Order: sequence, then structure tokens, then C-alpha cells
Amino acid sequence: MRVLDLDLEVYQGPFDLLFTLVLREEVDIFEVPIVEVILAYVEALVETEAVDWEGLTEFLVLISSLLELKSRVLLPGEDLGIDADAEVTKDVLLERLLTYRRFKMAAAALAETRERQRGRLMREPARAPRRVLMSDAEIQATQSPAGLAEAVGRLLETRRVPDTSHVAVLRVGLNRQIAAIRLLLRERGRFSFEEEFGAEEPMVQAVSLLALLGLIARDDVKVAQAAHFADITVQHMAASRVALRGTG
Amino acid sequence: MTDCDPAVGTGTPNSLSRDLEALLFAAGRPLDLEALVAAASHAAPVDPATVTAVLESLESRYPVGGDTGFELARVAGGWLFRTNACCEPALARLFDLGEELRLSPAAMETLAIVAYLQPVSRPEMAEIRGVNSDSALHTLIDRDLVREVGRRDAPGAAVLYGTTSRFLVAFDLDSPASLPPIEEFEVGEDQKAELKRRLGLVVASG
Repeated sequence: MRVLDLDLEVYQGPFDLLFTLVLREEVDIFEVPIVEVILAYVEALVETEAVDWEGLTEFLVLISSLLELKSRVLLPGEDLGIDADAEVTKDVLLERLLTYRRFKMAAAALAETRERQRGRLMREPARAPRRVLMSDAEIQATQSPAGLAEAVGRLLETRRVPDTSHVAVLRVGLNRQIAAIRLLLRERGRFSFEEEFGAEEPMVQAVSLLALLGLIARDDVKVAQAAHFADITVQHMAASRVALRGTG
Repeated sequence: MTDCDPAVGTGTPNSLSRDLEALLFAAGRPLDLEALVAAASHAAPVDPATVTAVLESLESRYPVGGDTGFELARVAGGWLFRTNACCEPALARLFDLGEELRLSPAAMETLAIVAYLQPVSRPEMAEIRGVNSDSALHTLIDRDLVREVGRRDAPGAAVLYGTTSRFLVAFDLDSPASLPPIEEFEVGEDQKAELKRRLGLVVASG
């Protein structure tokens, strides 16, 4: 069997791969080296650090489709539980391959058109367009529900995108809260959790508490709480040791 | 106070031409005949045929690929002022061109399927490409090239997708019907025969 240099990233699906192997690499379907395709993929996977789950799923679909295609050609249709005549199944496969190829070529033509458009810029709209209401005559002539819906839709059309600038985006993260707690301790040595975070959003309070737990686990801070659900006093571990030595 | 008195020349071909130029310059999107007629009729009703005639004279003043920096193009069912493609080298020195609409091959294939078969459902796209196209479709929706256009009137009521006005502008089309016929991309007979032979669909002679 021939050794093929397969760069799987360049194939867009089972039909693309099959078409390229069969026509460009001149491989008969009986010889399509599915094991090589899998090995090439596994090798590529080992080299990547983060697993691309979507890509992995698409690859599984690709390989199973290829196996299906190959087995349809290698084995009679009835053995696979395919109702149709084997010849019909093969014709369907050919038709699907040709259909895919048509759209792949159309996509290439579109990409070329887009490339030619690179230098054609247009400016942003100068102002939001005004609401243009339908004329009385047009509305009165409306008989169909769809026409009425369109007329009402145009009446209700908003002039501009709603202003959402007053909606605050809550930005909070564990590392950010850890840094915030460390800064407070560096500046003051100790602080009251209630005083610092009591007025914050519940999500900020929760993440700050998690940050605090992380710092406790690292022995960076010492906390004290008089009773359940009471305020928490947070103290820098080094500062608390100095204080202990001071009292002892 | 400007030199331009709105009352002077109102309703004359010159003032109509001036109004249409201003509308097209300010729009930033294709304006159709209906919108142009409505806006140009600010003093008295203007005949659509007159507006069309003035637009044609503007087209010859700002021809596509001509000597002017602007060109007046017919796209997405309307008229649009845009820069002349011949100015690309100069524009590229100052602006980042083309990045915005750079699409992966998967997204381009999905876009071609939507453009030619619209309205089309996700399972139909996957059927043609042989792989799930959801990720590519989301990219196209994010870029405002594809949008939902309705639901199939059949069990399951699959969401149907079609192209947007932005797609037509980006690909220099007046309507989806202006795309080259899909048959142009048919595989040649010799390639088809070779494919059949290699797929074991015909017994090789000799």
C-alpha cells in the first residue's frame, strides 16, 4: 500500500477527503487507507496541547462516514441491511460526492469574488435611518395577515439599537479576588470581610469567599469568626505570627 | 448660513441629482429605488422613472472601475457608493482590508450551500458537506452573512437559513439570483468517469 502524506486539517469532510484521495492521489476506494488517516490524526493530536473536542467529534464522524462509504462499495448492500439495490447505493454515493464537489467549487468562486472586493470599502451610515411609516393607502389596502404584520412591524420598528450602556457587566474572577485580598492585607494587615465585600453583588461575595479559602489553604492568611454566619476577620499570616510573638 | 438655499432649484434635475448623491453618500448601505424616491419627494412627488434616469447618469459619472475614487454600484437590490477597487494599494496602506470577512474553507462551503439553496436547513447543509456544519453556520450568522429566514412547514419545523443584504454587498451581488449558475461548477465528464472507475462503480475495461 502507498504511503500518503495526509494533512487532515485541509480536508473539509469525508467527501472532500475521498474526492481528493480518489482523484488527486489516484487511489481506488478499495485502497483508501483509513488506518493511515487515523494514525495521521492521532499523531497530530499528540502534538496539540489542548484537545479540540469539536474537531475530535467531527473527525469521528468523518472516519465513520469513510468506513461506511468504503464498506458500501466493498460489500453488497443487503449484507449491511441496506434495502436498496447495491448499485443504487453506489449511485447515491457518487451523486453525493458530485453534489459536494459542486458546492466546494462554488465556495472557491465566492472566495475569489471576495478577494476582488478587498479594495471596495463603504462608509458607515452617517445617521440611524428614520422610521419610514407605510402610507395610509398601503395600510388600508392590507388584506392579508402577513401584510398587516409587516405594516405593524414597521410601525413598531425602533429607530436605533437599544442603549445598554447602563447595564453593568459583572467582571469577577478568582485570581482577581485573590489579588484584591492580598492588596488589602498588604495595605492594612487585616480587614473585615463584611466591611469590604458585604455591599458587593452576591457573585462577587461568593468568588471572594472562594479566593479566601484558597489563601487559607496556602497558609497565606488566617481567619477568625466569632460565630456561624458572623463576620470574618482576615489577617495576613506573617502579621499574625508577629502579633503572636508580640503578645508572648 | 450656507450658500445652498434649499428652495433654489428644487425639483430640477440638478437638485434631484444633488439630493440622490447626498442620500447615497450618507447611507452607508444600498438604498433601493423606493427609498430614494420617497426621500427625493420632499418638496413634491418625484416620478420613479425620473429618479432611475438620474441614477443612470450618476452611474456614468461614477462608473464601476472608472477614473473616480468612488463608484456607484448596483448591489443588494439598490445603489451604493463604495471605493474603487483600483485604489486598493493606497487603501491597504492605511486600512486593514479583508480581515473582517476572512472565512475558513468550512464556513465558505456552508455559505455557498446557503447562497444557492436558500432557504435551507442545517441537516441539509450537513447532508451535502458530510459533516456537521453548526460551527461554520454560527460564524456566518455572527458575521451577518446568514440569518434565519423561517421554519420548514413539515414535522420538526426545521429552522431555515438564507443570506443577508450584507452577503450581497460583500460578494458584489444584486440578488442571490445573480450568482453564477451552480451547473458551472459541475465536474467534467472525464473526471466523472475516472471517479466512477476508482469508486468501483464500473468495471474497468481491458
